[in-house]
Amino acid sequence: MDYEDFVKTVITNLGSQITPALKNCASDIEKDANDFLQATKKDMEKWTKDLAGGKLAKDDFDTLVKGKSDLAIMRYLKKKGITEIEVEKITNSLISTVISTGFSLIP
Amino acid sequence: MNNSLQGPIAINKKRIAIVLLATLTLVLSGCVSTPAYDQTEYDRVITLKVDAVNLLQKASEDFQTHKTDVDNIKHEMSVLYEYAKNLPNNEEEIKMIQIMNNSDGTLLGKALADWEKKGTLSQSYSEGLISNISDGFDQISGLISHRIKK
Repeated sequence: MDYEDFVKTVITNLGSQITPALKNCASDIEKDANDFLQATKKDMEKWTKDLAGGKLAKDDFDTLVKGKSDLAIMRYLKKKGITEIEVEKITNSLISTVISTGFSLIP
Repeated sequence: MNNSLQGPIAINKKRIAIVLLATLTLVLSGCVSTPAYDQTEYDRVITLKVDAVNLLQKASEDFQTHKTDVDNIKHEMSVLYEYAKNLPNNEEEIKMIQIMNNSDGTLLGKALADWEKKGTLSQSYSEGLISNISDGFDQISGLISHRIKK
């Protein structure tokens, strides 16, 4: 499997985990994951070189590569959590506005 | 005649407005409730990251020499998990800790399990693990740092 195939596989796996509530921003999430995986290319090249040079065992190489996939999922989870926090911030702001506006209208 | 009706009508309008306000506030406040920002939890994650990285920098040395430190890290991860598990609507952080802690996975849990199993880890492997594990802890602390101070 070359690196581009690896990226495609991770994006496909990630896509299946995106919850219905976040389907609207699925393309953003997939783009973030793709950018992240492209940024990890340097690590992948080093590990491939170390594997070929005998500095890295095959199973250790597998763990490191699969680790990038787990990190892509963790980035998605962070983004999902932050989205919920932002919704709560907007809701809190709305509550304050409703209360202050509402009471100012009461005779 | 008009004057005699204005009083009750005004009171009724006021009551309706208060009831509507209270209902709307209740509905909105029930929408989402994420965990509050907790400085202690944030500090715990940062300390764990630093301790884990420092420990794995010694993974080319014999595991038994560092067994106590490894046990301490495992204990701190358990404390973090138990704390996170009891926070409301905290599925994302819980999943992230599980990924980090999984001994059959790819990050901290796996690193410690492999070190114990193999006795020592190669420099290339431990460097790669450190890079991935640091990034993983950054994702957890990144989520916690966004939380609202309540």
